[in-house]
Order: sequence, then C-alpha cells, then structure tokens
Amino acid sequence: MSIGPFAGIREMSSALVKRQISSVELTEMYLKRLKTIAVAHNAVAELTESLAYEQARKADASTNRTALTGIPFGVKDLLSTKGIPTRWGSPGHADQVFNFNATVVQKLEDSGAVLLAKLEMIELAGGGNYNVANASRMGPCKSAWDKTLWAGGSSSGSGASTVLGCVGFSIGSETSGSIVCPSAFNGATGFRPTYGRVSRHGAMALCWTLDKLGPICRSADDCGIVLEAIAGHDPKDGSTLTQKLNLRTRGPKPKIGLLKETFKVSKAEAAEKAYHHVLEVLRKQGYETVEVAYPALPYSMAIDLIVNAEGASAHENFIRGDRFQMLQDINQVAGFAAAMEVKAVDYLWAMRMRTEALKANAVWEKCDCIFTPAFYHRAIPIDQPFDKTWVNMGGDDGPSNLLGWPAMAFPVGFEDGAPIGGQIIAPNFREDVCYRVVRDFQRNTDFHTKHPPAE
Amino acid sequence: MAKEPSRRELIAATSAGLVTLAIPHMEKLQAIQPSPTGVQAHTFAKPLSVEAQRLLVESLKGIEKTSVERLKTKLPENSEPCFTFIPLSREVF
Repeated sequence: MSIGPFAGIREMSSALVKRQISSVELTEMYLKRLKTIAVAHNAVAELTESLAYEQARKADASTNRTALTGIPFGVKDLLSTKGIPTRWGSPGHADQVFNFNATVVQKLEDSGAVLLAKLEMIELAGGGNYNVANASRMGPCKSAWDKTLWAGGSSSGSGASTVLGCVGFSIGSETSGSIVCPSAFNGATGFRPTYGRVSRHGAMALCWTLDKLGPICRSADDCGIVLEAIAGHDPKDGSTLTQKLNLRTRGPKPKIGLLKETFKVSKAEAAEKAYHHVLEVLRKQGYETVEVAYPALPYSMAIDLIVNAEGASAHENFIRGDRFQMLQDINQVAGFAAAMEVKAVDYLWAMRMRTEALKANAVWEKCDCIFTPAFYHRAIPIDQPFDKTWVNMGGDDGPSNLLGWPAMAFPVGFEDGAPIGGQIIAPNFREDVCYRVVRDFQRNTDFHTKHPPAE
Repeated sequence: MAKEPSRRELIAATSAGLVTLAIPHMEKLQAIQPSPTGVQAHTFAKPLSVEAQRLLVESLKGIEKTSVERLKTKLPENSEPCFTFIPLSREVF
C-alpha cells in the first residue's frame, strides 16, 4: 500500500499500524516536499529535520499508539519550540529561541506526532495592520494553487503547506481571521475552536482576549483528530476551558442559519453558485435552513480597537526597542506606533461593546449553526497592496471572533482556478456542530480532496 | 566697592541664570513633547523614517476617526466591559 502526500490522518495511521509504511518514510517524503515545494512558496520558517527523524524513529518503535503517532506535522512559527528558533515571522525576532515547548507542541509530541517544521507566518500575526503579502520574514507566502496569489494570513505557511501535501497537518492561530483566511485561500479545512479550548501557553500573544489556536488540515475528519489531541485545560493558560471537548454528539441534524448575503453587489458569481451548492448538498441530507440576522453593531470596530490596544501592549518592549523598524511592512511600523496612542476609554468602550454584542447569542435560539462564505472571492494577488485589491471580499464581519465562537472553514468551490471557502460558525463550546456539518458535506463532495497541480 | 545690583539687574541676572539652568531640562522636555505626528518622541528607540512618519499620521487619523465613530453606538449606562480572559490563580506562579 502506498501512502501519498495528501493522505488523511486515519489512512496514514492505519498504514503505520499495519507496518505498510514507517513514520521515518513518511517523514522523509514530507521533508523532501517541504524543502522543494513549500520552500518555493515561502511557506517554511525552519525545518526541524533532526528532531523529526528522532521522533519518527521513536514513533516506529512505539507500542503505545494514538491516532497521531508517527504522523508528521508543522506548526505556525508563533509557537515556542524548545531550542529551535521561534521568530514570529518577524526579522526583528530572527535570533529568538525559547527553552520550552508550547503546550500544543508538547501535547502533539506526547501524542507521538512528528514535528517537521515551523511554518512561516505574517510577522507578529499581522499586528499593526499589515497591507502587503510581503509582511513576512521569508517573503510573501504563495497560494498552494497559484503562485501569483497570496496564501492568506496570518497562518500563511500552515495553510499553504498543508494543501501542498508537505505536512500531514498543521497548527495555525486566529485572532480575527488568521485560520479562516489561509484555509479559504488555499483550499484547506481549518478549525478555529471556541476561545479557551486550546492552551496558548508558549504562543506569541497578539491579543489576549481574542487569540485562539487550531488545526489546519485537509478535511474535517483530520481537524477533529488534531483538535481532540490539543484541546483541554492547561494550568499554564488560565483562559483555557475546563469543559471537555466532545465532537461525537448525535441527535437531530443541526438547523443551519443563513445570513443576508450580498453576492450580486460583490460580483461574486462563483461564490454564490458554490454557496447554493453547499446548501443543496446539505438539504439533501436532511439539514434545514432558516434566515437569521445579528444585531447591527460595530463588531469589526470593536475588534480593531481591542487588537490595536492589546497588540501594542503585548509588543511594547519591541515597539520601543532598537529592532522595531526591522518589521518587513512599514505599514505595521506605523500601525503599531499609532496603536500606542489608543485611549483607554476607547479600549474600554470596545470591551463594553463586547458585552452588548453578547445579545447576538439570541441567534442560537433560531438555529444551531450559521453557514456563510469565508470570502466572496478567491485569494487576492500577491504583488499588490491589500488596500488596492481587497475589494468586494465580504467575509465574517459579525460577532463570532469577538464572542469566541468556533468556526470551521472548508473548500466549497473554485473561482478562476483557485479555491473559495465557506465556513460553519457555531455557538461557544459547540465545535461538534461545525465538525458534523462539514464532515457530512465532505462525505458527499470532493472539493477537499482536490490538490494543486503537481510542481 | 562692588555696586549692589538693582532689583531690575537682579531679576535680569536671575532670569538669565534660570534660562541657563533650564536648558538641559528643556532639551529633555522637548524630547517628550508631541512630535509633528502627535506621538511622543520618547516612544521609540530610533526616530521613525520619513515614510513611517507619513503612514503614522494616516494611522493616527484612523484611530482618531474611530474614537469619534464609536460614539454613534450608544452603550447602556453603567454597562460593564466583557473581559473573557480569566485571571490565573496565584498557585500557578
């Protein structure tokens, strides 16, 4: 039996158990692809080759297996890895090395997974408001499908490497869009869990009250396996939940809420077609839909204020230090500098707006989840500033990130040869609903199994 | 015999002295005066480049605009901020 680079975790795990392939062989295959394909997409921050082989040999010898034993993976370079550079995508942090593993990295190591690489990201996870794809130490990360398009951010390398078949799965992070965007732009399935579901100990902070970590994979099934391995309370991160994750819920099909979309105004024909196709597939399986709306509140404004204020505080030493202007994108220099001037009263208004936004939870009285396009269009060009190209993109400007709701982004179609994504958003603690709906969709479609043309 | 300075001369001399004394402090004060961009100069270890300063002016305008725009959303009197961040217990440290 041969295992290809786009295999699912269960398929790889089964082959490993049956000794049809070894973890060392999988590691060798993925490292080769990382060194060639992923590097050519500017998706790699640091290879961890010697560690990977050491972990793979250990996995091959292991008798105490988990679903992830021997499965090679990569992590966004904002997660600390003991003795291995963790540069946060930033030239000003090029020599940064921590002497401990982030909890997520440690949990995956304890599960027997094999760390292949730190994956490139937008510098400082986009704090300071980047305006170019080049806002990254290794240069602009290129979409898995088209090198003239951006891979999305800020978990750029995680999205691209996973879809390029250069890792078995990856870990990304999201403050406001950083898992959903690269998943949509590359055609990955990304899982943003409930705020607090996954420990952020050892992860770079951009915004303490919004940051989440989650898997970026090639299917909902893979996302479920990885999330189960990394979720859980962590005394080192007081924001982590004590409620246990349970993805295996049963019962009636969740009712899907539909927001008012603006496909026509946004000239989003491909997204509109894909949207209706998703609904058709799900309705055939017994899913019901209902129109819903959020209270009209300035959710995005509140998020911007919170990210600016908390981001400036989290990185204040860097902003005040000698290396500040080493940031790749001068817009982030200006943005961080300006963020130092956000008034306390503005920040607290945003946090009070968050209390007001809790009213949006009323939407869950009508439905169990919401389906909406991740964006209205495919990835934007890599070589132009976003303020010129981010037009009619749509995207979630609702309360989901502000209120910590989970979401799963997944590929739903193509526009001019590049993927477009949708997302299922659910109430807090109900990752099982996202998982169930997307898994049902993927059992009946093949968008998630499509791969970029071979390079 | 040295002439005792008049009150006017004394005030003039003292003022001059004060000015002299004040110069180092004024330099310090100037360093923390708002720069043309409105951001205190002591914020950064190195002066911002001309382009960064230009972009900073734009970013500051955006922040100022948000300060005004947000007032259009009236929040309930006495509403509290929603800090979803849970503080650690002291035992953790």
